Amino acid sequence: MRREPETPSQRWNEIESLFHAALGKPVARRSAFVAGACRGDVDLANEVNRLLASHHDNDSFIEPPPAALTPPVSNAACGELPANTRVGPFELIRVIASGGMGTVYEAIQQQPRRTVALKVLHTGHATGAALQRFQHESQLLARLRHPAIAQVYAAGTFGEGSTGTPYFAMEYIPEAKSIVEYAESHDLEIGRRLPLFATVCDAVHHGHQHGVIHRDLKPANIIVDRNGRPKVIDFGVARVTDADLAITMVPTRTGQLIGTLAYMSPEQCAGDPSSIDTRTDVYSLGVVLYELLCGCLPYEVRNRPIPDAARTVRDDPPRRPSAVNPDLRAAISTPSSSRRSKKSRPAGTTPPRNSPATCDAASTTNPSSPDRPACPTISDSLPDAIARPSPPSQRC
Amino acid sequence: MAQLLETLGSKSRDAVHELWPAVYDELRGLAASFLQTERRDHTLDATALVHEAYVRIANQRTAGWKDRAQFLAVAAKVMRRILVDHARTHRAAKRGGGVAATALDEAVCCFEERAVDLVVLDEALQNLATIDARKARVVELRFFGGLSLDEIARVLDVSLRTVERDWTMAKAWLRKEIDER
Repeated sequence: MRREPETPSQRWNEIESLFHAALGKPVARRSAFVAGACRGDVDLANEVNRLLASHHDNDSFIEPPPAALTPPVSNAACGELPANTRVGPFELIRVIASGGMGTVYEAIQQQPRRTVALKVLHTGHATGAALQRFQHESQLLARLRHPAIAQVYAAGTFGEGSTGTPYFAMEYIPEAKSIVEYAESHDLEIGRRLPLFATVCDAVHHGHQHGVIHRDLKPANIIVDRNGRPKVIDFGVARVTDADLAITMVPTRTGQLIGTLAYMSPEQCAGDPSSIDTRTDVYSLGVVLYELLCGCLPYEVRNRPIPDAARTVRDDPPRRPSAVNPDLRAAISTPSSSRRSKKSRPAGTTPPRNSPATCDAASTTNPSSPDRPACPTISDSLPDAIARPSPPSQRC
Repeated sequence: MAQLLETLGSKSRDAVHELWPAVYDELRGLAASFLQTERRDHTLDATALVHEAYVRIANQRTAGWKDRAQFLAVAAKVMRRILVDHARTHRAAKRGGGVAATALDEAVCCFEERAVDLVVLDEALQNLATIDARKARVVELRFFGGLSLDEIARVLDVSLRTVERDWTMAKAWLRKEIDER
């Protein structure tokens, strides 16, 4: 016995209400219930029965995992710890700086007694594999020993249970300035800026030889102490904290992100961390060198929307250093210009040796220190590095 | 988050940048949950996913972001598009289309491990939308947006009971639709 013709929408509503009504019955009685309720409409009964067959209690099909339903802890919710708080074997003195990924404190260690810079991360929920990886990689960092790398003394977690808040204890460098600030405030001539920078290259090279990529090289992470010695800080921290690009992409203020973005390599801007290697650092160093020599960034990314800025870094050629600062010798900008195309990427992970660019510049502008190895491996190809292309798979 | 979003109102899309830390947290949590499996390290994939989602969201108008749920509703659409696009590319690459592998391919593999073919699911979801648009929205918000049923009820302005019924029905229908292919 057929009923009145229905609209598709009525039909659908009917299927739905029968489906729900049947679900309310014990499984064994559902089929009989549907047969009765459909009053001979075989198509309708079939449709409802097929739906019932596809329904499973506690079905994980397209269910989001439980974690998806818990709002993540916001960074903003993580306040600064008060003075005298104990973090592992350290006692906090004061806040030095607070950034997107963590807060840096001046802290005291009792054994051996010394002042340290303690970076407490905001992530606050390192568990299981992430915690293991944190421990493994922080051991790697502790093995980096170089006069121009801020030494990592210890890394650990504090807090209750199996979860913990990761922290790093690093060499404390009082009265430090960023390398660019230092060069500007001391009005350093080019001949003194280059050796300073060469030492930084040495330090980064040391990290690379030990299998650690910095990933977040920028003036704020290349500081100069009161005696004029450069120190690279936060070496490899971006990787260890699982943060990767997050360390540069979670600023507390918009300006910070844009400030950082200028030093990020095209592959970082494209959000493709799998393509990050030592060349990423070489690129960032190249931007810092550019800024040291030219007094400005190779790209104008300030006051621009982030996607535009990222696109510029990825696609646009930088301004020629000699066009920006006519004082620069041709030796710096000329050799790189022929390889400036973003399409030509140097092969391998080690920058080519014996590029004349920085060598010539360093030795010819700084004849007073002929015995200094003015040109460590990394600095060789830096001007080229800025013009390095992004792999074809990258997108912004 | 809700407070941040309130400040948005009718401001320009650049305002999204001010929200970035909060937005990033939300997206990252979402991406990480998508990519959650036991045996792999998915940090990198989550980052890639978040970046792409961010860039797409930044290019949208932000009006209508009244609270976290509203934002996640936008994010759900974006995540769906990104993941399905990549699933298609990934499929083409597997057939020898010569497309370069990306970090997101791994994300797509995670879904395959969970026995969800994103392209097939997306098509079934489009069919569902022609029959019952609200149910398709519920699935999008829950599966691609990670919203709770409560939040979905608020976004769609219906009762929780309605959302629960929609979700149960939509799941059964989608499974049937996919199995009968």
